[in-house]
Amino acid sequence: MAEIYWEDQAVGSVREFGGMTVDRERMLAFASEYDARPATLGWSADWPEVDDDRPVSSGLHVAALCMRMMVDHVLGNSSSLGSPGIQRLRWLNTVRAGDTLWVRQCVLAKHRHPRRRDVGFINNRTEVLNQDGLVVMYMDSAGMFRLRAPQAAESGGDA
Amino acid sequence: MNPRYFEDIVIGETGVTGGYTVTEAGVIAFAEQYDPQPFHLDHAAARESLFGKLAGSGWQTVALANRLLVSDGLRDVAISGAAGFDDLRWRRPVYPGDTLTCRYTVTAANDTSDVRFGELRVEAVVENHAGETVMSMEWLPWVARRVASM
Repeated sequence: MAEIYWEDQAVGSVREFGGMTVDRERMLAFASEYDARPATLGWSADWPEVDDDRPVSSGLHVAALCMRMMVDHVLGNSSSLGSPGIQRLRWLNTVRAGDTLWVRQCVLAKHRHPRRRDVGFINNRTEVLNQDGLVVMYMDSAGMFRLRAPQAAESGGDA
Repeated sequence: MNPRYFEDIVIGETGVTGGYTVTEAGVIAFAEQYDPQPFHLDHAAARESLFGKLAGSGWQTVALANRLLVSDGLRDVAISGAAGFDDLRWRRPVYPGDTLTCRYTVTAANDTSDVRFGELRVEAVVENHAGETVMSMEWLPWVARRVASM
């Protein structure tokens, strides 16, 4: 049964979890399927690349690993219903095979669904950090969660 | 093939990529590695979710949009990564059997912190074969400048 419902996620609370090491074979398999470029596959390029030490991880592979850590540590044990989207995502530092990634997530805001009394939204700032404590990616996104105890629409409000 | 550099890109440039057909095996393989939630893995669980039937991870849709842009629509552009994206919205589920295409328009071109690269703002809209928008985002790729490449 889910243990983390909408009510259990307080504004300002911080979760830290993860410790996933980037596997070279999976990193390259992801790149060849979804982001095949000189930087991600280590091809020689006709133009300068940001990093000389290639291949580097596709940023989307970092985002996908972040999602995996979120599912393993939070969402898989929650009343999550999915996400409507991401307001902003930035990649700040390069990730390579062998790096170990962690997630730090803060609840920025929460509100009830305008019509569904059993659903609410959680707005998170999610950061991905490497083994040196550098932030390699962050995103501001929203998640939908079922309420443990559906409330009458008029009794709810912003937490 | 000579790549197109940052200086060669015209604001307002637009196009549509070819298609990519999503398979059930592909949906499950992606979910097993990166998004193992029941509604992306299991038919019965998906029927009871908001998706109604087995649906792909939203992150797979983002990754496929990237594939369509990098390896198809803008394959001749000297793309050296991306700063990120803004305002990504998952508007409809993606189901096995859907064929996705990506419409894109370059809406801005900006300097970056590195003189060798410029940053584009690309409005990208992923549609299914019924012409419905399944995802949209403003993607921010870095493109090498010609002058740095000489």
